[in-house]
Amino acid sequence: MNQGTANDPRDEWIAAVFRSRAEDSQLRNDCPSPERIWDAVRLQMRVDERLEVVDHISVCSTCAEAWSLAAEVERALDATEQPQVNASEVPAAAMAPPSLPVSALYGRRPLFLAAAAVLLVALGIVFMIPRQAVPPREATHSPLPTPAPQPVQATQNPVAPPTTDRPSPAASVPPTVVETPDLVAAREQLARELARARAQTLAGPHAEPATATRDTSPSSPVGSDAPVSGWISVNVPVNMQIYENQRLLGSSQTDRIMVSVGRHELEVVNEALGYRATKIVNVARDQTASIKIDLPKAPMALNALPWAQVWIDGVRVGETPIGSVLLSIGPHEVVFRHPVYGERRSVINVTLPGPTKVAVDMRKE
Amino acid sequence: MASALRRRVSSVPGLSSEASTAAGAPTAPDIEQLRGDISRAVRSVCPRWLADHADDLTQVAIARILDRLRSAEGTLELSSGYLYRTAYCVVVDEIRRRRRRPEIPIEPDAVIQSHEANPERRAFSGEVRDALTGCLTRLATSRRRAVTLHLLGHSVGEISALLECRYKQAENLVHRGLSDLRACLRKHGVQG
Repeated sequence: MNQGTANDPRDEWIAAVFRSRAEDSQLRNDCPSPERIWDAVRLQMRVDERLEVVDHISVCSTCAEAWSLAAEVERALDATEQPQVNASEVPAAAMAPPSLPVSALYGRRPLFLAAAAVLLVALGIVFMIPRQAVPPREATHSPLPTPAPQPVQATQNPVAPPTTDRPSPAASVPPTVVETPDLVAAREQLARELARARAQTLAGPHAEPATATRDTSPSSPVGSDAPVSGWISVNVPVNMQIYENQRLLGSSQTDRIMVSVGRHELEVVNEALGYRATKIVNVARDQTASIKIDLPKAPMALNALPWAQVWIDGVRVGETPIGSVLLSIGPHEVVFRHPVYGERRSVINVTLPGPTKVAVDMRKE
Repeated sequence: MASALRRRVSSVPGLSSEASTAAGAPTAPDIEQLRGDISRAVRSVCPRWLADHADDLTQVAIARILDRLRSAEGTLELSSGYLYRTAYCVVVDEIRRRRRRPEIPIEPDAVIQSHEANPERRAFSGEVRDALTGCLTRLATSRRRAVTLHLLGHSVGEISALLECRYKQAENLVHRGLSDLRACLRKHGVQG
């Protein structure tokens, strides 16, 4: 991994300890957002801001782990973007720092942006001008404007040799588009169509099909298969799996689960707790349907040797032995306290099938 | 117009290059396409210990993207880089959430045992980690940055790019920083 570094085997254990810090770490309050870490790794922020992030990860193990993750993704992305080159064919000069993944990306970005800009301008010329300014018959022969009434004037870059034929896309040089009334009108029409499409998107399920001028072509974004999704949200303090027709949709840990619009018969399951219930919910488009689940109660028996006072979820419930205390299914914090043997604390899962029994020997270390 | 509304997913790391949808107006096939793309991105970002929750994280990522699409009123362009960035942020948020509230494995009918099963080992590990963190913070700033990046697995070339310094300078910073770190750890009785 560290090509270019004088790797000392003695340092490997240091790196291992450094990486393992995250296992026991506590999150700090001043951690940068994941977006900032991502941007720092990808060299997409100013150097002083990046150095702040690096300073932070040297003392925050959780953020160091996040940094490592971003770096791995960066390398994977970089490896897939770059063609594989046989190392033996690479000249020594090419192995210098600028050819390494991160620095290579750093140096390549302006070229990429320039290429994207060229592509964007070319697409604009190809798509907009023929539709707005050139009769269809002519457009089939030459998408670029030929002499016609009020043509769009395009001035070629002086570097490009003047040609009468349309240059091939690969050889074309980005033209500079001069604003003309036609182009302005075309742009305004495009903006109107975009606004109309957005309005349709934002309209609720009962909205009028506004849309007298609705584009119903196969490539239309708002065609016959219009938005059909909604959400369900399951409010329950323990993790539940959500199934529909025996297909796992997700779990209650997820804020929202995307489903199709309409009636859904959901099965809410937690195998460990022995809980299974069926819920029916109607989901409207772009709406979140909430499912609230009241957990049933189950008995728990507690005992301790020689004896102990017992607190459950911070509430004192008495001294052992306790034959049965009813608790909602799911995890509960149980604390045993003895004046001589100290305190034992743990989280116990109360389940539906059978009483949950907890026993502890306070005398054992 | 349709082409203007299409999102473009370039053909990087396994993402569909053909995926296109109306920005802000997801249809059923589009959502399935998006779900597939996001799922691949999340799974490639997700650390192994979190892999069981990849489906949940995918849902969260989809929700974020669709929220963003709505707030952007359809002007958001979903590049593969954006999908990976969202997947990464969702995964890191989940890691932080778990660090903040560590989960304790639960066994039914458990006989409670002390969590301090091997206090000696835990104490030793903690001391080594504390010593390493302490020694790192005592290093000179530039060396600390270089050593931190080195310990995170970056090459000298990457370190020079990240710190915006020359290759040779980055190499020296790593070399001298590691020497200082070793000396400091030795002083604290920690040796490999």
